[in-house]
Amino acid sequence: MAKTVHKYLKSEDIRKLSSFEFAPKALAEGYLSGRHKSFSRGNSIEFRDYRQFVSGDDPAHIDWRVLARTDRRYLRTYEQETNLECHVFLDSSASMAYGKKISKLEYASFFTAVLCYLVVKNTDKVSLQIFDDKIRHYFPPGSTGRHMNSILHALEKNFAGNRTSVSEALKKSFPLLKRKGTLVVISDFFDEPASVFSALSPYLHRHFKIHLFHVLSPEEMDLAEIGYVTFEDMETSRKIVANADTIRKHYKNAMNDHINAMRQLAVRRNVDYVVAKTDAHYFNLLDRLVK
Amino acid sequence: MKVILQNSVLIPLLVLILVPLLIHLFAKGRPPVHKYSSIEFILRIMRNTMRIKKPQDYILLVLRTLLAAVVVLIFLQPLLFMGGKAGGLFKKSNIVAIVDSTASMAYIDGAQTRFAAACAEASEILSGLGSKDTANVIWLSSKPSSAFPEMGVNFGFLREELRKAQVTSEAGDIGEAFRMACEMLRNVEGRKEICVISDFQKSAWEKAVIDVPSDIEVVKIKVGDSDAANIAVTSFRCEPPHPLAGEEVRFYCEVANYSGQPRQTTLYFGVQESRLSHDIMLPAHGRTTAVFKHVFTGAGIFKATVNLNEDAFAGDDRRFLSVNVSQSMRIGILADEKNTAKSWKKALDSLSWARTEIISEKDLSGEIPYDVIMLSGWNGAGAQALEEKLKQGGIVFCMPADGVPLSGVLGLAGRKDSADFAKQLVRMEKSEEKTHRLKITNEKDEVFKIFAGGENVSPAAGVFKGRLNLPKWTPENEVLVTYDDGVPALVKVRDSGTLFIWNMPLGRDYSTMQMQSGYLPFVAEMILSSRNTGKILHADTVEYFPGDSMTLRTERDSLASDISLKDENGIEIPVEMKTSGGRGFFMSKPVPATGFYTWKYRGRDAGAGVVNFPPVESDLTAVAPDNAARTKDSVVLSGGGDVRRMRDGLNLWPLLLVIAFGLALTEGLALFWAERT
Repeated sequence: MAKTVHKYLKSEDIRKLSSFEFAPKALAEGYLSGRHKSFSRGNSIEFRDYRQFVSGDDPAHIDWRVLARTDRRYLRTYEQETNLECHVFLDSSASMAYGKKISKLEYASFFTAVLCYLVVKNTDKVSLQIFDDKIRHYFPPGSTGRHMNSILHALEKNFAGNRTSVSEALKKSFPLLKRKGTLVVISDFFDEPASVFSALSPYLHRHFKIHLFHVLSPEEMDLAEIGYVTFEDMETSRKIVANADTIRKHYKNAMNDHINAMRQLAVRRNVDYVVAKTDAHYFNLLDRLVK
Repeated sequence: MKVILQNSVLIPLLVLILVPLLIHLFAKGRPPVHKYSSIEFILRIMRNTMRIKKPQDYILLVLRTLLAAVVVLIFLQPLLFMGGKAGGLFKKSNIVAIVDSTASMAYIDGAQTRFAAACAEASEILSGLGSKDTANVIWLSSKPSSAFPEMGVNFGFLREELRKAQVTSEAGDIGEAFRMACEMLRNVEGRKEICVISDFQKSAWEKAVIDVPSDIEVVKIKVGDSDAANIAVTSFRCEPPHPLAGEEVRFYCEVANYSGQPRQTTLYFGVQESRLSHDIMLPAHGRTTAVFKHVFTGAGIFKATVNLNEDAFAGDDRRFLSVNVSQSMRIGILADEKNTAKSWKKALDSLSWARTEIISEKDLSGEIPYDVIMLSGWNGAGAQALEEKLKQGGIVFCMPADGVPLSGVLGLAGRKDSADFAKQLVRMEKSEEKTHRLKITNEKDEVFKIFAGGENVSPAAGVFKGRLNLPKWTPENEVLVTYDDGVPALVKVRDSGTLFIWNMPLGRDYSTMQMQSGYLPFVAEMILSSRNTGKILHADTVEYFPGDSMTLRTERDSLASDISLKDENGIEIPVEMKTSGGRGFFMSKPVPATGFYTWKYRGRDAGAGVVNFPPVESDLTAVAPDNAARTKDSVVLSGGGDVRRMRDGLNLWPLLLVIAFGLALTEGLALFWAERT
């Protein structure tokens, strides 16, 4: 995989990624003993805690030294190292096609490709869901080169679809994820912040480490001075005539309010939230996920 | 008001007014499409800001539409016509300017007289006339006159006339001025217009009703302030009006204050060498009468003047009076019944101021030259001349003759009664046995005034054996004295002159009255008290007003060259001889100014007359032009310029240009405000 002809995974990116190691700050729930900490206790060399013996426990785990000294039966528990599963949710709704130099979807695809490569490179598993108002593609967790190729092909063939509903997609995807891990959602989040985080609640409950990448083009952050125009919604095709110059200030405020709402909810729910502007390099986003 | 468009061919340009509206609709309806990721935020913003944006948009739309409309109107060149008579724009104009030159127009409003302002307005009206138009100027005075006999085109001459014109001291004949104007305009083609320029003095204009043909437009232009304060001498007379030498004369001067403020002023009186003054206080809108006394030592015609301190309206601050003082009264006695006539003459001859003459029936014709005529045994002769004398204010004593119809006596008293009783004959009743005494029935009459002092002299004393059978007289208050059985003995009929119907036959055969001590003062007092009627006895002392022609009647035929009329400065007024009723008299040209005028016969004083300021002109209170001289569909304008604008229209494009600039500026400000918000 040193040389690639994939659109979204360039050779120079692969070279750069050689020094990166995927390491989200979260415990993983994997089936292989590995480098990632897991809340599952079992056979391992990393001591975690003592626990009082109860009927049914394996007597082999009783700490005999403690028993001899205190005449009480305690079990030693260990932290189990496991491999990581990274679940990537890529928003491919119509609104993601927006962008002047580079569309949000392309930007998000670049980032997805790099991220998936980084995960697979470390023999961790990565899954990918491409969604708009429904799940259009689902690649179950895998860590093989073939799996990676499938993902890259899927990204290349991907296109901006219909309307989006992040919250709906998250709700529908939850049953598909068998093991907890890292959830990376890449979207423009044109959805109500409360409903997005409501949809994330089951994941949080299962101790998923969640990263939200809010992809926005600079033109969305700050309306361009284009005067009277008919704004046509790329998802709904709804139109409205407005003077961009006169509503610019209000728009900027509204966008900031939306981002702030997302950010506040993310902080409250211990979710990582990043605004990803398409005029910044997507490698910058990896800072949150590598060590 | 009407507006017409000079460039009406460009009316289709009015469609351009719709341009801003169309731009507004289409520019907003189809702006370039900009695909956007999500318009949720924009929708939310528009929902929140639409209620603020919409009014701004509409304000801008209205401003831009107005701007387009104004710009289009500038090209259409609208003309505004005040008064709503735009139909005659291209017709020939015929204008008669009636310029008020009456005395009230001499009032000084600010820096110029009202008349000067009126002439300036008239000149302004004329200056806008074209070569096709005609005009004339009528001066409103007591005898209105026009600059041209008919409508003319020499506007330069009219303007020169207006420049040279002088205000008169006359009252105005409004009806005559309008009649002249209508007559001039009757047969002309095109627009017909009468422009009245006046102060619309309430006393002259309020009750005037003018009938103007419907094809003539009347425009009224008011000059002067409505609240002009003025003090005037409105009346000047003396009592008795024809005094005798040595008699005390009272001069009554009435002063009026035509303002809303009380005023104090000094009134100066002058007659012969006497100069007197009175300080008088005048209430607001009130009048005060001051009395001056003077005794003339000799006979003659004297000038008396009274004047006030001059104010802004000086014409009415002075008044003149001609006082004809007689040395004695000329009394003619018709002696058909000799006893009574003899008693009258005997009594009157003892009075210094009475000069009696026995006259015959022939003297009772034409103009009777006597101040008092006493008819004893009057048989009805000269009734017409006597009636005329009474109308002129003369004094007539009439004792009818036996057998004269009662209607003749009633006729002298101005009663034209054709009832049967008027056909009765007046009969003399005489009885030695049955005598009668007199009884005063109307003690309040001024004849008895001097007897009321308690000097124990009875004016109606004596016993009567004979009398005339006069019937009961009505009204009863005219009966001064009756017999004890109610038969009228003395009746006084007072109108212009005074008629005494005398039923007290004198002489030994009839009565003892002539021997009573009260008889002489009674007869004298009847004559003296009757002079106070206030009427003028002689035509040569009548009061005239400026613009009137003074007249003089002479007792004998004279040549026009013998007679002249001169004012106080010796300037002669042209006089011409006229004929009326077979007799000649002299009439002057209209006298233009107030003052004292003297008639001369071969260089000697033959009479006098005074020309006084017309009192109607003193009250400078104005009436609203709408209510002045009620004419149909008159238009009130503020000046001659308005008349021109009404005729030629006011070009509105400069005003529209300013409005367009204003709208453009406002639109810019509105746009700036809309963007800021």
